[in-house]
Amino acid sequence: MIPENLIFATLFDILMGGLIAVGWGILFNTPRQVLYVAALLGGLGHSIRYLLLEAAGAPLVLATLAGTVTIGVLGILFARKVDTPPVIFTMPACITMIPGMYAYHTMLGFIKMAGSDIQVQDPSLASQTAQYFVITVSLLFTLSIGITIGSLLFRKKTAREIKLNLPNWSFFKTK
Amino acid sequence: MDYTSPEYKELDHIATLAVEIGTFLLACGAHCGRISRNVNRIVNTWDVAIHMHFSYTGILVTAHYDTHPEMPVTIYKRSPSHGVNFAAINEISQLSWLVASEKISVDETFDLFTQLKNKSSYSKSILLAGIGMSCACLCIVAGGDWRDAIVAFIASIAGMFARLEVIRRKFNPMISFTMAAFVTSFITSLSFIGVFEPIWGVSAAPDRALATAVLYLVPGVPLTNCIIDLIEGYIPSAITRGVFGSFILLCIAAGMSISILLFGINKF
Repeated sequence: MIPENLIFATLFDILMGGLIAVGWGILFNTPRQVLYVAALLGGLGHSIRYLLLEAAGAPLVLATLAGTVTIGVLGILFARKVDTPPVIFTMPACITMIPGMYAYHTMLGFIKMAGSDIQVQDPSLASQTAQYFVITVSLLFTLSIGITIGSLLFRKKTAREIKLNLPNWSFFKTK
Repeated sequence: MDYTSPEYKELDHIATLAVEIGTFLLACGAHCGRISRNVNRIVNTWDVAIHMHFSYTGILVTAHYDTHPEMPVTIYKRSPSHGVNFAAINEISQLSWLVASEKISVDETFDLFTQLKNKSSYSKSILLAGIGMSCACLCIVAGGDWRDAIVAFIASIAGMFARLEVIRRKFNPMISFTMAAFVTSFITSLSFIGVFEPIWGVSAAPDRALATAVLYLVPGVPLTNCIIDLIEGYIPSAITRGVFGSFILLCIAAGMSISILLFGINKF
């Protein structure tokens, strides 16, 4: 289903990331007026991860961290533009990168371990399941870091008070 | 000032407002740093200092005037039932900035707060459609084809519908997660063993549909708030959020296990 060409695949990934973020935004009751921000950030973060994984061959956790940190930093800028707390759209945007397949394989491994003769059938099962478990937990940790990057870097400041030394783009000016 | 003076009554009023707003934000899925910042911003307008203790089930607040630290008021309130609502978080944040800039009185703030509490959210059909859409897209991103995406779409909507029905009948919330995971993975398991193949042929990766269709149940907000609270130093709240989120994950795994074991683990 994903296109062969890297450019089309990236555009497709941006679209998919945006749609996932909108779905999560609806589930979390994000206000209608800022759903587009969640879609933008979700598509951008997800495609950055996709590009790093596919084109640059980066490790999975590092690529996810790059995506979530981008979402977190841009979220602070957008928070001032639309005048809401950043968590409202950074949370749905970051959750687009939720490690579903790894969590599923972890669970399947645990169920198989409960069977009696599994050590005979597949001796590598325990180590394989442990690896999936560690990847799942580290990816969840990475998502949280992206959401909380504002309070990590700018302690005790709200999104309104943070001054980033960026060019004075008219788009990001406060009202 | 003594314990019968109107100022002390007013302080009691302010502490009640602080604990009401705090528990409301806690139930809406705000992390403790946000709750603390918003409530402090509101009460500091009236020259009151507060100290808060956060747990997942309630908030303990001690308030005193800056000029009279020897006469505090302490109130504990259990939080209402948890349901993520970011619109409410946004509105409380706006309210706190409004109170801080316009110096609104305590009674007026109470009025504004009770008005905010009754805002409507997305309708049920839009919620179901959004969940189906995001699970279908997650399935495609994970490597499934359009057949898997359709299965994930239908399965997640059916599961969420079952969960809303269980919640409406006032069962334990954990039963609702198990039930929803069971319904969703039952439908995707049917696709896995090839029940839908006569309709549209062999699908590319039915295990992707099975893995991604239950993702709408994942407690993303408690788990990420757990890490945020750990980073910001609210340890008791972080532990309770983490345990709560992990238990929901366990319930989802239990629901999926039931349907997987019904079909036989060797097929998966």
